[in-house]
Amino acid sequence: SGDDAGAEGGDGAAIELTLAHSYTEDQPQHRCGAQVIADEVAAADVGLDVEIFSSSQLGGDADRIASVASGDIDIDIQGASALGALYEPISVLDAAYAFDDAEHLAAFMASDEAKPVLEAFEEQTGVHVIDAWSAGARQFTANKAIREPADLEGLRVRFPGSPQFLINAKALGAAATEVAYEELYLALQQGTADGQENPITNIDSQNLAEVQDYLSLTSHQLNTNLLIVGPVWNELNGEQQDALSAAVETAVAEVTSCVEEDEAAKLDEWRAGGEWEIVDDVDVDAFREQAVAYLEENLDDDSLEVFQAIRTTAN
Amino acid sequence: MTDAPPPRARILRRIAGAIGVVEITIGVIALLTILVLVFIQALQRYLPGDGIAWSGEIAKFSLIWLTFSAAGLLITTRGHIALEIMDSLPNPMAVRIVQTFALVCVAVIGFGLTMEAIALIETQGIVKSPVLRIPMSWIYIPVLIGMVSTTIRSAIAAVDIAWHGPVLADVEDTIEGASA
Amino acid sequence: MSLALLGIAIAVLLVLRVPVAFAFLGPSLAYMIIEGQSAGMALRYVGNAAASFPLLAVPLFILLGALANHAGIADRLFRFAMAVLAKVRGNLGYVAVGTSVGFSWMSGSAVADAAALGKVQIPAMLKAGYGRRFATGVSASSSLIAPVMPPSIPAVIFSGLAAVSTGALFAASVVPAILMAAGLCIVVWVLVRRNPAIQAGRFDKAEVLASLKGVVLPLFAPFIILGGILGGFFTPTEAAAVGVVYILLVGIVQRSLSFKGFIRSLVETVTTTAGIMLIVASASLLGYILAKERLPQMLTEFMFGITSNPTVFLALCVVLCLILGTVIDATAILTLIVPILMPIALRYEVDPIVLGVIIIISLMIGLLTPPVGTVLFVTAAISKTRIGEVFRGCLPFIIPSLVIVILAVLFPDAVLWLPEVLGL
Ligand code: NA
Ligand code: NA
Repeated sequence: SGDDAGAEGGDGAAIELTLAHSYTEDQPQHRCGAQVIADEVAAADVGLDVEIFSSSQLGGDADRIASVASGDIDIDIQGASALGALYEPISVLDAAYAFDDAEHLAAFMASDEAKPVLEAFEEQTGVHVIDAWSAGARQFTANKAIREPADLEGLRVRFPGSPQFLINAKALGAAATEVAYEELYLALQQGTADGQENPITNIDSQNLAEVQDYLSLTSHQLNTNLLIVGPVWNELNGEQQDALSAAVETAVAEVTSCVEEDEAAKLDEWRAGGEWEIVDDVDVDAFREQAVAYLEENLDDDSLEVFQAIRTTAN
Repeated sequence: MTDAPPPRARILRRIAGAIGVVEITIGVIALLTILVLVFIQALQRYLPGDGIAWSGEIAKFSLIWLTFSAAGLLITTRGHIALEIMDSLPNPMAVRIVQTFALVCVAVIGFGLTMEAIALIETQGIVKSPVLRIPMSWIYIPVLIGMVSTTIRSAIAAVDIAWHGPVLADVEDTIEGASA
Repeated sequence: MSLALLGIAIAVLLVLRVPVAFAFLGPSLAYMIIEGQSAGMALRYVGNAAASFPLLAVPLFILLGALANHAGIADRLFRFAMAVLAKVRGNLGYVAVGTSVGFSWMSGSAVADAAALGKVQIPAMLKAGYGRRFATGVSASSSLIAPVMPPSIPAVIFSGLAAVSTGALFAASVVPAILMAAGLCIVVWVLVRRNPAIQAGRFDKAEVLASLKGVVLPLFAPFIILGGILGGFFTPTEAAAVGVVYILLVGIVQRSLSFKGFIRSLVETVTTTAGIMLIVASASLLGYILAKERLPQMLTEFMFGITSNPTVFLALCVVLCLILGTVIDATAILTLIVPILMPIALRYEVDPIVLGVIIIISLMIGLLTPPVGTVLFVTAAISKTRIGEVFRGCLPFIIPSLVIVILAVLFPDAVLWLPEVLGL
């Protein structure tokens, strides 16, 4: 368990760290992320052992966030918007068009601009952010092509329920509707929702191509995953902290390339088959301009600071 | 089921009844909240305008409050689901011992859960709810009330049964007894 | 603290009459303390397990059944079925099955059905000269249609635990529920033929029309609830709320639901829901512990060591549910075994919906079997019959349910037929 982990450091038995997440074992977050972290940490041979619990076995996102803060789970993989439950401004990493691409996210996380928000988060919660990767950009699906903001008018689009996503919906000009993730396929098929937005890997695993006609590549938000570690972080020695950070760094690179490969393969398959139409000619600039203007107007002070810090690290 | 209870137990039972009405009222309000919010959410699909994002969250919290508000009451009304194999033991003293033991166990477990609830209220202020960002420590206040009630009621019932043999009323009796 | 110790502690507490929820909570709490988990962690998991959107359907469907009961819909369904089947020999047996089917569209719990319908069905059959075993047997057994036919409380709980679509599980359960009703009718037919004392009555068209008036509005409820879910107009949780509002309106319009009946429905719903949800929530904490101890992985490997055949796996699930169902409450078993069986089922490439249908029917049979059979107890209590007598009466009526489970194990694709036709 987490609590007696620190006591046994140094020589002798390895410290066992639990790494929990919500993804299935064939998703890139597990294959190229969690598993890579466990393997790299074991290879570093610094008296650390990472034990993975996938597929929400140790509870849903909200449960696990609280467990990381209380030290009952050591490491977790969480979306920035979910972490807003501990410290609101961090959820801005999930703001619409905050990041241009995965490289931008990596550049931001490595920059001094990221320090204020991450340090404030750690001070407030006792939870340390090691790094972040993107599980792909979120795209719209609907029964019509979405090329410009006006195309969203009159559509009921399913967004996740947390505040940052609902702000994003407003920023993009969409009418958000609430549907549980498990009921998404059904809701789209039956027309209780007209569209939804998710990264391509989720769109694929939910088989949404069967119930929607268009996938519009708006790339309106990076689906960030933050690697967080609870109070046990401060019980690790310098060597162990470095080994864990290095393992995460390797995993970030792996996940990024796995996601790219998976997405490219999936898009090729969809373009070749006639299941639905892939809309490439989206006026991304129009969406970005509208969203950024809305966010700069409507985010509160702390959140706006983070948003602007992110934008200054863009190319 | 057995002889009429002595006056002292009757007063205790009347107090338990009055508290029971408060507990069941919290439960009923939570139930009606769920009904209204989910019904509005169903209508929202067919009405223009944005859906209310927080309706699902409040409905879910109401289910926690409903569940825990009635947890204590169910001790007194014998409403908890239990395996009652031992109730058919031929020796009435054995039945009395088993039932007393079970209630003592519930009281001990209830006390442990009360401590847990206090810890939650102390520590979960930093965690906010996913949609409305309500401090989660507030959510656990009705849970604490339910656990305190469970502990006290099971302790009283254990003493009552050890003393007088199994006497248990049902929900309607509790409510009517209190309002009378 | 070893898993074996945890299991033994729970079993001992269960036998010694500690309520199921607390028998789960006590040893689990001890485990969490011994393992050094933070204070409050255990109760946090228990509390949050109750906060799930699919599970919101549980109180709403219980309320729906309670309102239908207090609005006298059971009596009116019974009167209508009596009028229609007046000339059929052994009609009261078929009437019992028919009213159970009608009521099952508004109720998701066998125990609630056994109580509401048994009070009407059993005295009528005894008065007409049917045997006590037959009367109690058919009444208790036909109440099992309620949790199989949607809406179904066990299906809602299963979907919540397995993260599958409640609508799809509901759709998959319709055909098995109809087959159950048909199977019960066949058993009634066989048993009635043997009893020359039972005679048919006279058909009265006026009575049919008069009794029809009482059931027309209530029988629109399944169109709103099932139609709303299967047609995709509402999620199951929303359909439950819409159904409750509809039955409330019917009760008010027909002046059949008193204010007192309304309040009683609310109170009954709160206590019933709390009883069920406490078990669901406390079993989730136990599920967390089992996951932490890697029990699902160990069992998966163990199962694959025995067989790689999904049919054998499903058959073992049935046997497990039947055995556990004799002694433990169905909700508790469901909440405990679904998180353990789901990963195994996925490895066998068994559709979770098929697993759900099979587990639910198998567990419901346990409601009719001693030593712990809630429907058995309820039926025995309201008919003032010995439990053994009711159980003997139930035995022939358990056959159709068993046959349906076996068919579902052998032909899992047939279970998925209706959901696929509906595109769910
Ligand atoms: Na039903
Ligand atoms: Na049983």
